[in-house]
Amino acid sequence: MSTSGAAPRSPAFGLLFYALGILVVAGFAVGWLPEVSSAHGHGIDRVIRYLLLTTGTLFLVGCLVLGRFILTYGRGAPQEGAVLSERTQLLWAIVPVLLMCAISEVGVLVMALPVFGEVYGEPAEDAFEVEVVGKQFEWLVRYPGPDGVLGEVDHDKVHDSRNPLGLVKSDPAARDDIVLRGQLHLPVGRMSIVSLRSLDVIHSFTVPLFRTKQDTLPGYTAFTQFTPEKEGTFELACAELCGLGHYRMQGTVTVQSEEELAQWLSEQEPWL
Amino acid sequence: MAVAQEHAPQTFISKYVFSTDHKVIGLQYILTALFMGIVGSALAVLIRAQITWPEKALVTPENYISLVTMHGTIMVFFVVSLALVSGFGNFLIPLMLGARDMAYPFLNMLSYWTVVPACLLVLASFLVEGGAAAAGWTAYPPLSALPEAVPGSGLGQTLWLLAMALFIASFTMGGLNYIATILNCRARGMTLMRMPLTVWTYFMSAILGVLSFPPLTAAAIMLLLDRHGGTSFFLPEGLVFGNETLPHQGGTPLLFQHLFWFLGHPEVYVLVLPGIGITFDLLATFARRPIFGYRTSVWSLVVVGFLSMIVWGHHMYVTGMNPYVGEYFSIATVLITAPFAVLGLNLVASLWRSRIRMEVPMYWALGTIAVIGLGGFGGLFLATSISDIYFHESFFVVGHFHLMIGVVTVLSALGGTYYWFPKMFGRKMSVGLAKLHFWTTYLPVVAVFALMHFQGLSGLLRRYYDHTIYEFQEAGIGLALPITILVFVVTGSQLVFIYNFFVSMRRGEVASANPWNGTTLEWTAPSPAPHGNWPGALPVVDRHPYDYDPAAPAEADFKPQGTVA
Amino acid sequence: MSETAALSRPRASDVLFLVLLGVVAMLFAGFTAAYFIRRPAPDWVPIAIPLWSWVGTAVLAASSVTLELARRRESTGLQRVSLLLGCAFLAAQLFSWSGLAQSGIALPSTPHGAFYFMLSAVHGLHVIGGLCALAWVTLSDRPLRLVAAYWHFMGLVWLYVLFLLAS
Ligand code: HEM
Ligand SMILES: [Cu+2]
Ligand SMILES: [Cu+2]
Repeated sequence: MSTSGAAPRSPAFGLLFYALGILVVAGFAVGWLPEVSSAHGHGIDRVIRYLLLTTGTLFLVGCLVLGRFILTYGRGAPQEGAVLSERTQLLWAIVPVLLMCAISEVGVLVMALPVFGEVYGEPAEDAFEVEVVGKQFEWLVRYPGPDGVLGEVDHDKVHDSRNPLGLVKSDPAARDDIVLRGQLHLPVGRMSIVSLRSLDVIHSFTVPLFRTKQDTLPGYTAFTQFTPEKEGTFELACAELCGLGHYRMQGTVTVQSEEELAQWLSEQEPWL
Repeated sequence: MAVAQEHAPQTFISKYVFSTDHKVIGLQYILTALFMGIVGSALAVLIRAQITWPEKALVTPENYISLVTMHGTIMVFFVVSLALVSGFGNFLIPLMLGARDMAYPFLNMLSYWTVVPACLLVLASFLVEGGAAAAGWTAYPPLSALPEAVPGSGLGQTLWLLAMALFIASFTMGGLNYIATILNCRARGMTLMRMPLTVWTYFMSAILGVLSFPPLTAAAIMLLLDRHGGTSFFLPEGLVFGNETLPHQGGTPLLFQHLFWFLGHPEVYVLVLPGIGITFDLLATFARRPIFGYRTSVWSLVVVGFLSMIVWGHHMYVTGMNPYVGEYFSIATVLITAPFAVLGLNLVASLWRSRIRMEVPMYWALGTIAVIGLGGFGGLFLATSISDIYFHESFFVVGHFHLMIGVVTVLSALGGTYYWFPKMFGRKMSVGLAKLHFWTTYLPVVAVFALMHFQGLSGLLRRYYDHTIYEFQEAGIGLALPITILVFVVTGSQLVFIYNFFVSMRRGEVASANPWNGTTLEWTAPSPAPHGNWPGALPVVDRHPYDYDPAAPAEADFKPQGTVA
Repeated sequence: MSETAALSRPRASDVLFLVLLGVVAMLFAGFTAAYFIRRPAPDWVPIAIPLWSWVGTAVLAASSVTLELARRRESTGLQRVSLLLGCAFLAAQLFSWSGLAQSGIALPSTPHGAFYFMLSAVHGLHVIGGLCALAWVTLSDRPLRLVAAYWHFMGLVWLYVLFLLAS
């Protein structure tokens, strides 16, 4: 029977958990995050690094202690004094409680709250406004045109090729609206507010390099705000399963200077 | 008092098919889950193959999302719930409590035979027109409500909903039975604070299950009515498909998400808590010392259970829910790490001044501890609403939840199988094969899901048929091939387990009643345990469940929790 | 079970029963949440609660009274009366449904109506379950205690549903 004779030992386990802790934390830390390109994105990356540092340390320490215990107590030697009083055991529970409350609430309330203000707070006065509408399986972008007002839309008028957003002809504000498929142009260094709608199912507007993500719900207008920091083109994708073409709901975001953007906008024809 | 054996059923049908014996029912659940697990893993392999070699277009995009949906559904509800919660729960609770059976054996049998048609419906849904459900295991409307939106939302989604209804009915019967059994059928002297932690975790799991499934049932009923009754609970005005506007109006899709996650989050704990409980029990036996912080562990379980019912919104930070509500959910969610850290500390500290016997079940217990830690590590990134903006719907999430509800649960179920196999069949499993199985499962599986975290950090999005058309996903998809190779290793490794399981059942080394020198009550029953569990009188409990003494001579270092007169 | 019967533990049937009530309560809590989230939408047109529903309420209340008397006096006659009253309640519900249908209110017509149909159907299914249990204990001459308690509980749930829908 297995219990007779020398206890089976396995120092490999001690080493396994040393290696596991070190490899995983190192793996997290080696810089997978793509370069950020929006103002609030730095804050998000800071929160991520904060969590990596704090909980990463805890995880590493946990693994090292686990490995150490296995090496030390895996030798089969008798151990005295294994049982501690109820009180000591209770005290040992207070340590992790305080530690985790501190680490996690500092994360949420100290590190993340300023970023929360940037992402969900009052938008800047001069913010650049544009509408993005998700539909299976593309992103439709609408600019208000010279009048600066997004015109009326009517879902009964939606036609895939002729009038993808269902612009209402009788509304003068709609007549100069510019509608584009899958290309969004934004000014650099100025806050953009994107109002988000959906024509069918739930989609999610995400530009990973901006660290931004917001679902588009049918029957509801959501907003997301961010300030692009660098000129260039960035990829726009969908982050909510929306059907068989979910993976190809691709778009591009072109960030350019105010002048270039104004120039480009003036070259676009109104849809109607 | 040899009453029990006289009532033992004699015919094959009453003994193995329509049995009311909790051990037979437990095994029926486990074998059903094993079968469904083979299906679920086959789907996982197909998913991996498609992600890794998208240019080969092994499946169509619509089949791909069906695969993902059905893999998730099968794994969560028909593998992990069935094997760990229903299977091991049934087998262990009466044995560990010193009871002859569950409080309601007939209800128990009914519960099993309700879930069997649910499994059949799930399997059948692959064959119907439009294919199996394809709206994700979360089944968010409008996608899940409208066949116009995706082919799988035709008959496939209806079968999915019916299967879920049967599953919920079965699981609720099981949960009621667990609670009644735990509160009523404990052996003499078995106070609540003397129950093994495994039973405590099943208790919490059952409470969470029965309280959180009903709102999902309500959501499922409303979804069925939206689909087939023309109502608009979840469907707003102005849904346009193929240039036609649907007549629905006024509904709100977010309502479904709230009801779904009101179940969905506690369900995570329904699954993971028993895994933690089993780990505690295995740990005590092979560390040969009492569990560190038994009481604080019990209280942590209770706190975790309570908190898990008020944090569901952390799955909805970017859905358009009021961000201030999201902030509340974030503050509440990260608090769960506190009781979880207590559990983690108690697990690790249970090795302090121990005398470890490195038997095979202990491999899995130790492995599970590290995975719980890794899961908790990733969890905070998702619980903090601001960092979740980046991680939501990325492979970070996939890595994280697989560790928690996939790996912790499966590792502990496997460890539990090696540990209680003697009690099930009176034999032991082959140690050599078991070690091979452990190393070829543990190393690759941890690597797979750790790598998925890295993919998520690099921005890889989930539920994607083809990532390669995006530049920003290039870094992440670079890891796809190594992951898939490791997945093949893990999958192959399970064949070793299945072989070992079935061969050892008939040819394994014969085991004594208490082959591991364990203290909990199941080891006072014969191996395999007969109908009624104890041939004579029931055991009487006079101490806490983990009375080991690492200072005593090796053969006399334990005192069983109870004695059989 | 008998071997541990001497211990002072809650009865298994009581535990099972109380938790079952918890399950039913959570089900209706789920519907309640949905009701309050759905109600502010612009398409919410209130419907009048059909007269038959009020009749049914009275019948259901009466059945609770007769069942309680049956339990106290151990009278199978009153038990049968309660069974009949329970069936009458369901009949009244069917009348109220067909009345609504005749006045042109079908399931999809208005959200308030949809909630009315759905909640009364879900409640009705629970009542049918109660009727089956009642028939079973009546025929097999078993104790009425828990079935009666369930019946009163479903009566309360019905009052709650009605209050929700009428408020
Ligand atoms: C054989 C081991 C497993 C592998 C290789 C695996 C792999 C995967 C993959 C590749 C996905 C799809 C990711 C995506 O693109 O969205 C996925 C989804 C999922 N898996 Fe697993 N998985 C395994 C086991 C499990 C287990 C044991 C569970 C039990 C809880 C589970 C639960 C899920 C769930 C819930 C989803 C999400 C489905 C959805 O998006 O709707 N998996 N898995
Ligand atoms: Cu999508
Ligand atoms: Cu959750």
